[in-house]
Amino acid sequence: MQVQIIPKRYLKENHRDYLKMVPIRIKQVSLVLLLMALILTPTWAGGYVLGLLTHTMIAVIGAVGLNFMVGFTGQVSLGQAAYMAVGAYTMAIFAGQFGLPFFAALLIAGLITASASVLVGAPTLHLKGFYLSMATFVFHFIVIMLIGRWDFVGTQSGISVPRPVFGKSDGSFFYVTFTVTALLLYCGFNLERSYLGRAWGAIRDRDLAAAAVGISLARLKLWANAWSGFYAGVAGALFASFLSYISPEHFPFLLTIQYLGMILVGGLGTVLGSVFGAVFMSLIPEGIRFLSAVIVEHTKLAPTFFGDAQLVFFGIIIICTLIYAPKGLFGFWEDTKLYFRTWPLSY
Amino acid sequence: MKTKSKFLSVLFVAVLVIVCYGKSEAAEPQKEVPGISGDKILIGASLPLSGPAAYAGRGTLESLIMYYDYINKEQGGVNGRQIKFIAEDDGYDPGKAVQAVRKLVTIDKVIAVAPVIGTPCIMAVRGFLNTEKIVAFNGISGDPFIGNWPYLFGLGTPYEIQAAIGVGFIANDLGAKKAGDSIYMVIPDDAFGAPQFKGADLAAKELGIKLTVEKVPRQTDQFAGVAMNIKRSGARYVMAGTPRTGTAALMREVEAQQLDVTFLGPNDVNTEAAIFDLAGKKYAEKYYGVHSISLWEDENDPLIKWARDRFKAAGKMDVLKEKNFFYVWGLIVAKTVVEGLKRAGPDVSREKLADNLRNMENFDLGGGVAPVTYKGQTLLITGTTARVSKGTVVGGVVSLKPITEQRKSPVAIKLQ
Repeated sequence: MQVQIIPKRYLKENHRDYLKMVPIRIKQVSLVLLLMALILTPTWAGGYVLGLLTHTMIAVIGAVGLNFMVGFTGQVSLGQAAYMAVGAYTMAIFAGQFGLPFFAALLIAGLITASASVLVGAPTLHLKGFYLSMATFVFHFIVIMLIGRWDFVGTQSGISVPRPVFGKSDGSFFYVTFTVTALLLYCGFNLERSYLGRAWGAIRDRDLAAAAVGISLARLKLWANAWSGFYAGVAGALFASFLSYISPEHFPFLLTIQYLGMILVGGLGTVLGSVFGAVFMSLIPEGIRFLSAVIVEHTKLAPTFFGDAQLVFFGIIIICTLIYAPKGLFGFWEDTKLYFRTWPLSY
Repeated sequence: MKTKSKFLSVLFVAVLVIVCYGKSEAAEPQKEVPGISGDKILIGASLPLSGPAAYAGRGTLESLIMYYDYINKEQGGVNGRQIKFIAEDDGYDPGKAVQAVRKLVTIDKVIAVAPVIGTPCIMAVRGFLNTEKIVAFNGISGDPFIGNWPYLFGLGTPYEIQAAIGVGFIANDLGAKKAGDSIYMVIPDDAFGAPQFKGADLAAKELGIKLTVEKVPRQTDQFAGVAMNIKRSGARYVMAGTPRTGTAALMREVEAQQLDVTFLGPNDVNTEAAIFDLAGKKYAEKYYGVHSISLWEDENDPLIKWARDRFKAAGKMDVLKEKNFFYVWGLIVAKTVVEGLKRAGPDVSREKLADNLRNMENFDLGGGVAPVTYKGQTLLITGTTARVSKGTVVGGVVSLKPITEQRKSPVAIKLQ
């Protein structure tokens, strides 16, 4: 018989404890320290680090959104890049062309993308697996083709996107992105724990049984589409503002694959897994870049040696992560926590 | 008590944010002379060293490294300082290009980013480079230069103008207009194809020659349908604006359909003898190419000959064999940047380099491209002319030989 020793602080004794998002004191302190560290980053970091962190936070938002569809509900979506493009161009039109305030345009970008996602999801409700992924795959090319032919947004040449007045510098845009990311993560964690999150899990695991117990598959799948689209739209809008310029070339199909990689590596079906995956996939290539620069500087190897080698290293790291952490980085994190929690006991 | 502690926590975080916001704004401006240390000048480049555009990045990189090595070892550097060159891989991805350029500017503190390859990449980074006042080089679509970009320099003639020159050549020199023949243009459906179409369309309308255009996905190699469309249209001339592998695939399909057409590459990037290594030689002698920058195999060009001799001496026979336009482009970028640094003098800075480049007038690189003039230009692009070369097969080897002088566009093309 296996016995797990769990400290009292991990036990939930009443409903109030269940409602707390971060119930344990040490986790609360860690979270505050992390937030403070992020808030203080612009005081010492230059444009490169701030740009990297901004890019990572945008990836976190997109990954969380995609995980609602793929990880939580089990609906494979290949339209992430297209949804981000919809959000990005909506921001360009409303903030750039119509002059709306930044946050208003950001909200509209999220809502329009959510609507687009529901419009795609509605006729494909009965599709599953490969067939659903093909439908979203086609949607990607339709969106990119339409954008590339629309004169109003500059066709293939693209369109410029203004940054918010209070977010012109790298530091201030970092805070804008940080605020939006924090809000959406808070929302995402609550969704995960809510009826919606649990129902999505039921649909993913046994959709017929879920229907049998009264869960409306159609309604909840559409909610998953909507939330996923909203997050993707906001991520796309922030991406557009960050670059200050977008074109169809910024949303290749490879971007969808990258986001799928993030949630696969991070952990399907968890918001924290999406965060881990996005951070991992955003920072590892930069780490490889620095490592290769150091090696090139100190050896006689030509810079071209690392051109494709970087992709190979990156692929190896992904494969190793999937082999040694099959439940993703989130699963690895949970296992590590349990190990130290129960140490020196093995169970 | 709990409410009070929550309120105090929120207040503390808010104060922290306000304080840090103010500090972060103050932390932005550069105060030193970046890119210059006691004995080194740092020059950066953001190149596609991986991915489908890797041949462009690697070709450019080889020439940049060769030229900077030459300057360091045989010329003693620039004004007594050695050049340290840092290349970053952006994989032709605008998102990666942003990170690569930010690293070069804020971490490595380079004096210039020369070059950034690709329209999508330069469009993503030009705002940042403009704000930081960093000299950058790019070629050769006109789009990135439209607007107020005083630190963005181009080398070579924009694709719009080259495509117009190509249409003019077909219409007048090859007699298509007189014979009532039409042109079929195949371009990638992206920011590379768009300016080509713009210039060709304007010229075709002005010259009264029929132009049919078909846009294809950039990386496609499926051209059977395109070849059928060319056959149906009855066009005698095909302007192939697709990258090397695409043009080769198109030629194979056209050959399979047994069409008697003449091909024209509408700009520097498309005008390559290397296409025939993939496509076979059937259309080699019915191939013309427009280019503003000398061809890598043109040993009559003194600068090209000099560069080829240096690669030969270094034993880089693979570089000599590959007919890659980007070897030339990297060379002329390096030469122009070094000239700008020389003119800026020993107390060079980012701003001084930019000023000296902007004042450049009729700078003769000794070949490679027409003399460079940025002075008085609204858009910092030097090229307004291009020449046409024809494919020839000698001893089973296909090469391109210039058959015209540098000529202007037959129509006025406004880039602003």
